Amino acid sequence: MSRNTTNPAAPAARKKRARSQNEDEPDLSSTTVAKKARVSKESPVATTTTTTNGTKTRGRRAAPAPTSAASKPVDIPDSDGQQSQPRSLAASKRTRQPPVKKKSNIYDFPASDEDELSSAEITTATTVTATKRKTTTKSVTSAPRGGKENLEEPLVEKKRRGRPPNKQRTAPPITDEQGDDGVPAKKKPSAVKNSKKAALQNGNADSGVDSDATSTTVTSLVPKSRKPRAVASLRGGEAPAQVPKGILTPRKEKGADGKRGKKNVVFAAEEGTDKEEESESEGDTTPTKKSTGKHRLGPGGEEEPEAEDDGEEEEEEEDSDDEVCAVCSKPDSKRGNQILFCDSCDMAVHQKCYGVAKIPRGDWFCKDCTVKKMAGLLSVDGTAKDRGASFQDKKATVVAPVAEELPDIPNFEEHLRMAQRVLLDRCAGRRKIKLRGQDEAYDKTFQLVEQTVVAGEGNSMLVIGARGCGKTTLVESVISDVSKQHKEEFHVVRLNGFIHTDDKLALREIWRQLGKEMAVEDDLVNKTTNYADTMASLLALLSHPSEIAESHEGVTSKSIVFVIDEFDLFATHARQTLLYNLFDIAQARKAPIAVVGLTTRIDVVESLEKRVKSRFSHRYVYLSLPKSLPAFWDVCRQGLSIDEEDMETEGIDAGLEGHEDFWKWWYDRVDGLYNKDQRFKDHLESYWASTKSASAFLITCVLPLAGLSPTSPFLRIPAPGTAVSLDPPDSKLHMLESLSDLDLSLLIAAARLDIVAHTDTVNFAMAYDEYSSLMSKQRVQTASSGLLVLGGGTRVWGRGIAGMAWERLVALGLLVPAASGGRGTAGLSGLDSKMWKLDVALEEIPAAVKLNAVLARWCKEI
Amino acid sequence: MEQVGPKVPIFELPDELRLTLIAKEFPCRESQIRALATLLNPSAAPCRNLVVYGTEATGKTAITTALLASLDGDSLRHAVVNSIECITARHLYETVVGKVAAALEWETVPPRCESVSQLTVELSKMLKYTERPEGFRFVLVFDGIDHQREAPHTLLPALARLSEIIPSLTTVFIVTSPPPNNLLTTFVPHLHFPTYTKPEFISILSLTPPPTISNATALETTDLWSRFVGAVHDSLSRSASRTLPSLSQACQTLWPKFIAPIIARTHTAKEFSKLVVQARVHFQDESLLDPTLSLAPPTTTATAVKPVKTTDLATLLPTTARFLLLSAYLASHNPTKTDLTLFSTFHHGRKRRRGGFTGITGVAGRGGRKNASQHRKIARKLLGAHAFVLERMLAIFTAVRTEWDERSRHKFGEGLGKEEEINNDIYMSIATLASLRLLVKVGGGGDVMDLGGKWRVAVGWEVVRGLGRSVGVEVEEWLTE
Repeated sequence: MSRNTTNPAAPAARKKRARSQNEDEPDLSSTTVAKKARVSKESPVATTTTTTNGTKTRGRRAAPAPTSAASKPVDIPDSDGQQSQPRSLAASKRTRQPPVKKKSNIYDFPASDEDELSSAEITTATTVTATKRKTTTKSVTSAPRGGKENLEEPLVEKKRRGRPPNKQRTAPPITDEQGDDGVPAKKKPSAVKNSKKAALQNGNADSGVDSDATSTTVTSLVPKSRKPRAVASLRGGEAPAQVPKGILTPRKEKGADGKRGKKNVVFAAEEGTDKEEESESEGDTTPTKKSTGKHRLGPGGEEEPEAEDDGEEEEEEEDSDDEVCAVCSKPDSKRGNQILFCDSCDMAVHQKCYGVAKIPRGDWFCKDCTVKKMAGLLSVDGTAKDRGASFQDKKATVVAPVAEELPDIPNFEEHLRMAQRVLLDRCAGRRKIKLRGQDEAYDKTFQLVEQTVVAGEGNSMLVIGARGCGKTTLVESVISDVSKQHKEEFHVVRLNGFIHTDDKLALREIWRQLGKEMAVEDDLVNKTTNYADTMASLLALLSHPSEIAESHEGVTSKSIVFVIDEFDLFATHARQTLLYNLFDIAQARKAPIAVVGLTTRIDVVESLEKRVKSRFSHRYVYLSLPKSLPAFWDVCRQGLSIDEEDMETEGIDAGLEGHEDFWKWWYDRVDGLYNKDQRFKDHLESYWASTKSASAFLITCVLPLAGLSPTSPFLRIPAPGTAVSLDPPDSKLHMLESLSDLDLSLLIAAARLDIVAHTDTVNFAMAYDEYSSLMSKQRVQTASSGLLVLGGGTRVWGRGIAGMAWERLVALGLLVPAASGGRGTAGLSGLDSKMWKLDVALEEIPAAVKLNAVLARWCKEI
Repeated sequence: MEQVGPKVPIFELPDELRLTLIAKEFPCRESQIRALATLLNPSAAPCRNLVVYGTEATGKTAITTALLASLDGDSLRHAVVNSIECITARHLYETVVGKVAAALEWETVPPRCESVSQLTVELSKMLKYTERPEGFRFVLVFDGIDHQREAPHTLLPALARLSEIIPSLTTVFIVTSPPPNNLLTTFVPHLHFPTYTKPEFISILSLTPPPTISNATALETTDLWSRFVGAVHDSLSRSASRTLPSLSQACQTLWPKFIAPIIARTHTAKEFSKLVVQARVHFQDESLLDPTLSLAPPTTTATAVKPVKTTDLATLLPTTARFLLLSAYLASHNPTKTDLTLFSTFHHGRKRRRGGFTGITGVAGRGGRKNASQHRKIARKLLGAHAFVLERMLAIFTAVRTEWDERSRHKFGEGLGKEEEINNDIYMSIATLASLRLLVKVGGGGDVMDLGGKWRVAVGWEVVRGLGRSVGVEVEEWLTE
């Protein structure tokens, strides 16, 4: 592996390495895979030379210390000391290797403190993955014994395109180690068990597993360009796990959306063939037993080989390039139980583990690939191959049909289209979804409104709850339910604090809505332009007939329900006249009105004036967001399926042939998503943990739902592949991507001033001065080091162009005007001295955008 | 097919053919077009609010408009309101009402619309209370709503509520970068239009290749063009101005110079790298990115001088005013504490200029050195003009005038009344400078001629230097930094 010495992140990485030495042992296992992923991320050269497959790298990492030191002169010497000590143990485990950790850090990107944590999960994940992989291959990599080795060599070679030939060098030290390995070898099963347990207990790790598993499946599609593909998929698998996960941490997949593997896809594909796999995935049996149990062909000889294995392991690793069996995750390949490679997906598997009695001549394919070949689905469009990101796409298109068959249901298309219509309307917020778990609040509100309508009471109430918890849904469903029984007996007036920004407007709106509902002539409505008039006539309208003798003689007034959205904004209106009058009417029983205020502010009563507050009934209904994930799912589920009892109201024809079948199938699919699909569950959990807003979650279902068609009616959430995300951006940092180098230079120069010169405001003159001094320093450096860097790297742009760049930063809102009143704010000397504040911090810049080496250094070196 | 309830129109994705047409028109934006079509088409999954965001020149408005125009029909109408065209919020409301009425062929347009409340009512009249065909949607696009002038802070949340009140309305907000939850509503889909990448830039510009070069085939020309675009992108666009318009403009300007060797038959169209080397000077020409300069031919030096002359302050101002402006600049840019060393002739009998004030700044420097190790000091001139007391400026003026102005030195030597001259000529000049906004009074109140009033100079370094040279003064010598 060539070390990427030019990596700008090197200093940080070195720091990190020093720290990582103190890390405790368990973490070490993690690093191999993390490294693997990181390798693929940082230095493409390194990746191509190292791996075809994840497992290979892992094994290779396990190569003893001398080797690594020899093959990589750049390596830090301390790695040797570290390496040799735990190695005897680690070698048998293959994945537990301290030096690896250190190496991995070389490729670290700065400030990725999470790596230790996250990578731990990944490793455990991959360990299990290996066991779960169950595909086989034609090309056999055998144990490196005697003459056999030579025989096998060409085949192996074929798989190792572009790999540095350092394994020959590694061989001697390894054989020395074999003696030691005998003892710790026994520990291996338990280690595997532990890691598996961890993986199974940890949902996130599971997902890591899946990504690996599925990614291998994907690679099978592109046999020619296997290595890059594998790398890409690994990267994809690693990305989501980058952040340390707590129980409540959102698991949203950002950017690399949908790169996570899909658990049930793989299992579903295997379900029929392998019961053991399935039970393992559920995690209720001991994984170790499972993995051993899978040595189907050799249950008798199983124990012994295993003990032996550890002895040979190292040797084997070099030779077969560290390929381990996907089922038992052991690398030993012996006559009669050789490791087979699937010719399509490169999955490595023991003959015995996978149940291949005889190695076939010619090509050999694993079960998955065979099925795929049969299905003729191996044709993937060429464009998709080019993009690493689109591998998920293929996984979806290819794996899914394997896993599921189109249900044979009459009128399938019509059912699907109708379901889509209803569900999309619900997801997009155009059909109400029912409230769940808010019965108490509902009853209270219903009772209040009903009392007003039926008994003519005056009432007031506040509904308090966070955005998206269903306040409006609650009130609207109460009103629609009440109106079912008492249709003509009340009016509803709806006000919104955002729209009716003062009492005058609100009054006119009330008057208008009542006029509309009461069919008052337009003249009357339009004439009352005077605020006082409106108020007076409204009061007259609302007041009880007995109070105003002449009008409405002998007529019982109708009840009116006032629904006041954004109630807190009405409290900011001058003297709170409207609220005072409404509450007064409600309290004094002048007229049967109910005032229902909806607000997000829990302390809204504090903002009411005393006279208003005293007229308010102090009835509250608090709505809470779902308190548990199942409760949240219960709400969200309505966006994905329609309950039986709602079919009628939603206008779905239950009489159409195949109705029952379709919905049974559909419910199964949706339940399957929730129960088995880890990606879906992570997605759901991320929303539950971050917003708890059902509508936010449902919006993400819109595009997947809309993408369903009779030929591919399988719902996948989040949408796989390159599908656009409908998430709002987290911050302004997404705009940094679109900045040119000059824009970024000025931004960085300005951000540096914040730290260097300890000023929080900056003008163009200062930023440009900093920029040109940085640039001239840079030029001196490059000139002195003899590297005449070409191109824009050291080009100093003139003041005019820089001024344009500065103005672009202003236009994008990355620079905001400093508080007025200060120097230069009068716009006196134009661009130069107007003061701005920066909306990004220096440390955020390298994290948000990929910088070139020069700019990255400016960010780091103050 | 038998269907219960008229409410369930069948779900349909938008017409593939239309989408393909639009995708062809706007390359490299297919996924966005598809998502947008799904979210807007009445028969697909029309949402209530939609935020379309991205930096400038990424096709947000163009694609949204084109897509809506192609979807427009019986079941969908649309109106696009550009906030830049609306100078107040009220103007915006009235534009909205006008455009919606035009799109719906509504007869009676109300003359006035003063508030969101009224806007809601008017839109409700047109869309809610009027019978419309089943599944009708109206799409209202607010373009650049984040740059709306004089917008009340509740404008965006209020506009987002419109679609709640009017069920058949979809509002689309096109913004640069939405602050989190700026609509203050539960959740709104956001569609991101990212910046084009280099291959995308190339493929977009390759769609409009230049006319075939006389000495090359059409294929060679297009091939050369796309490689040329890549080179321009790397040298200019990527490093200094990363937008599609600036790139295409730079390409158009550079192309004739680039292919000149081919036309002159010194190179063939296949020798790309040689051509690049030939045109390297042009690739480094900054003026390509500056829209004002790149349009003019490169030999503008002669023409550029003329307009400068007419507006040059040196020719416009009388000498006294020039001196005053220079002293104002010095007062603005020199710290008060250095005045004594710079301008006083009293103690030493000889003038001290730059560098002669070590005593004062040295102390300050030592005091600040502790901090200086941590925080660099910002050069004073970078901070712009500081305010100064008028009296100080006059003092500086009297101090430097004898040195700068031959005439006044003679007068001074002859012992003519100095005071008198200050009172008359100088106040006049100050008033002139103030009326020209070259000197600006800071803070309101007080008489203009109040000696304690604070002023600030409003001309930059370049102007002052020229001004100083016109009277034979190197202003730099009089600045402490």
